[in-house]
Amino acid sequence: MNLFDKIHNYQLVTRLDEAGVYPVTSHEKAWLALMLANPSAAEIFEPATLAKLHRLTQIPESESTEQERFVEKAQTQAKQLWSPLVRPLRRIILGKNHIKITAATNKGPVFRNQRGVPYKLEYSLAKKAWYLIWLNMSSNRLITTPLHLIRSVDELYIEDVWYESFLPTISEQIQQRKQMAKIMIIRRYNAELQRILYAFSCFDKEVAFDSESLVYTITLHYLSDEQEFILSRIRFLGLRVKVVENDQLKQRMAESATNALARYTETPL
Amino acid sequence: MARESFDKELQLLRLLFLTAGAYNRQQLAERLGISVHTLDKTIKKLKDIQSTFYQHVGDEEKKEYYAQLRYNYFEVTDNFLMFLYHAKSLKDSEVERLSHILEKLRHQPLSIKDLLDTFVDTEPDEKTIRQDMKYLEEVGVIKNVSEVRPYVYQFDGELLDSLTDDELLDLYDFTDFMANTQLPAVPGYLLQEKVKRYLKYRLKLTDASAFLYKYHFVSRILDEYQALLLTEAIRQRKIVEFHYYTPKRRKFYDSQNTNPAFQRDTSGRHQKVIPLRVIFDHQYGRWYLLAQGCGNGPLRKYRVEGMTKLVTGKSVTPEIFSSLQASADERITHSWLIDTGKLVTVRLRFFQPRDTPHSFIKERVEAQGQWGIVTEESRESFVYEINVNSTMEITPWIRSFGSSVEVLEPLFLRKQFQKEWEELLAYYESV
Repeated sequence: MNLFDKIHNYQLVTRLDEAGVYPVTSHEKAWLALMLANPSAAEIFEPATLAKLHRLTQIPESESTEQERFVEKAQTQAKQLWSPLVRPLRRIILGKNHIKITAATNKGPVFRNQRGVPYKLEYSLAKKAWYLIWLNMSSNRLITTPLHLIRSVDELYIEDVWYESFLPTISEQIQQRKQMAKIMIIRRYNAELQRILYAFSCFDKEVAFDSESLVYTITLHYLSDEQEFILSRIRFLGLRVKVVENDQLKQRMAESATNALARYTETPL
Repeated sequence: MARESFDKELQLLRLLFLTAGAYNRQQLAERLGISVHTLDKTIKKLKDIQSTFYQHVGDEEKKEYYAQLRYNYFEVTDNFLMFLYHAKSLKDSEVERLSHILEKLRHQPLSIKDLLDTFVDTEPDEKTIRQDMKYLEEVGVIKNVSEVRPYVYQFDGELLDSLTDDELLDLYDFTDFMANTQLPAVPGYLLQEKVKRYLKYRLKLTDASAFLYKYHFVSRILDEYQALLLTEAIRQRKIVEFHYYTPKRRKFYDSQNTNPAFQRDTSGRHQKVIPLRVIFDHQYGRWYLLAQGCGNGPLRKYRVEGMTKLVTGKSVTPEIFSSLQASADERITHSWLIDTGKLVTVRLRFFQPRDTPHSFIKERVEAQGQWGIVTEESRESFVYEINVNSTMEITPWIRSFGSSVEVLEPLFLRKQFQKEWEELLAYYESV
């Protein structure tokens, strides 16, 4: 399969878009057929739609793709790819309506019938779980609720303008949550630059290189609820990196190191 | 059709994405092994494609050529590295012709002769049109609907046209989700882009996105091109040749000199191997190739990102190939990633989190611990055991748990952890 096919040429695509022509290639259909073979497809589509898609993506000859093309290592196992709540919630978001939600928290308590503005559905590739990001109208706080903790959701129909009137509050809260940290690559590990940058490639970042001292500094931008994951990545890289700006992260790394070290001062049980 | 290689563009995009702003033009050009002039030309080309394709990119962002390459997942969910796959160059006349043909056939089925008549100003010759039709039929976007000559062709738009609005939205969500979470992804992103444009056209939906993806290694798509070529070579048991730049080198590419008078040795090492497995590492989001050196060479491991000028050669006999593949598979059965070192038993004690009924440490170990097993368990802690090829690749994962884990065995690893935490504490002691 040639991914750089001329049918995907940018000028051609733009021209066809203006004319309302959307050609789907047999490679794309073959990919779709491969993905439809995943058991989760049955959870995502209505049975009739799934049957229709199976029929429409049947590739005549031997072009069907092999299942085991790649070996995947260090993969996080997903309990299930999809959640039955994604579909209804996605439509409520699209319809710009409110929700009445009953959900538990990880710590236990259940909050009943709270009214809120659903914003986005987020999938974490590290945890393989779905989350709903929504604005709680009574507390006016942006909340991230794992879908598996949601007991019920009802749609409350409202005018689009009203839904939209909450968007500035949401983006303001997101802005407020933004954090910044500077992480320096310890110079003796400069040869591992690529690996270190790959480990941070899932974050919004800038990198500075001082050609005099040959030191690389990564400036990470992240949301406050990502702090734990950032910390686990910093520990993951061990001696290669050092937090040089962000007191909270430094503090936590000092604690981690102290507590971890305490585990090794005695002989194992 | 001319073979085009996107090695240079791929390496440039990767460098811009990974090192986000670290290098100036001169340094970028040096690392790519090209002249500043070539660098400027390549960047201009990429910017053109990007701005034609993503018209919503603001002027401010266009100025900073790497601004769009930032991973801004809370606002943008499009995989912005995708535009590279639209980079295939075409002559204006070809763009004109192909779009004309597809527009006409979208409207009604036509024979080649009828089609020729629809060109008003400049009528292309019949041979050219036949070639175009052959190509379009090959990629599956048009089909022959007549049983006898003259052949009548029709646009194949059934997949999208036959879906209801609601089904279309489900298809969009499905492609979005699968492209972002499964391998391979590029054909999925291409399809998603199409469905998105179609949704906009049919439902007047300007913003259909409702999903966000956290901790997504978006750059993995840059190597998918090569990964798919390699899996194809494996399927056909074909030898591959390429130039290899190890990631520790300062250079990632070298210009190809077409003039033999200026021919020089490239700094990449030439490799000729039998490809056996393509491996994706979720820990860093990178691709590897496991291959056998030709002529009884050792088992080799390559990072796909360091490969350029990949070509396929002769086939290997099925017997030799399957025996090589079976032995390679055996050697990576216990690789955390791709290590083929000596087998070690690693025993770890994980401590349950305090003050919460939610055992997220256990959940994480179960989800990410690959083939390891929990052997002992109490309310406070549990023991996890795994046989793994050397401890090098599993170490970062263990360390990421911080003080929630204690290495019990092997003893050398336990000592190594103790030493590392001592040194790490020194990094932060003044806090």
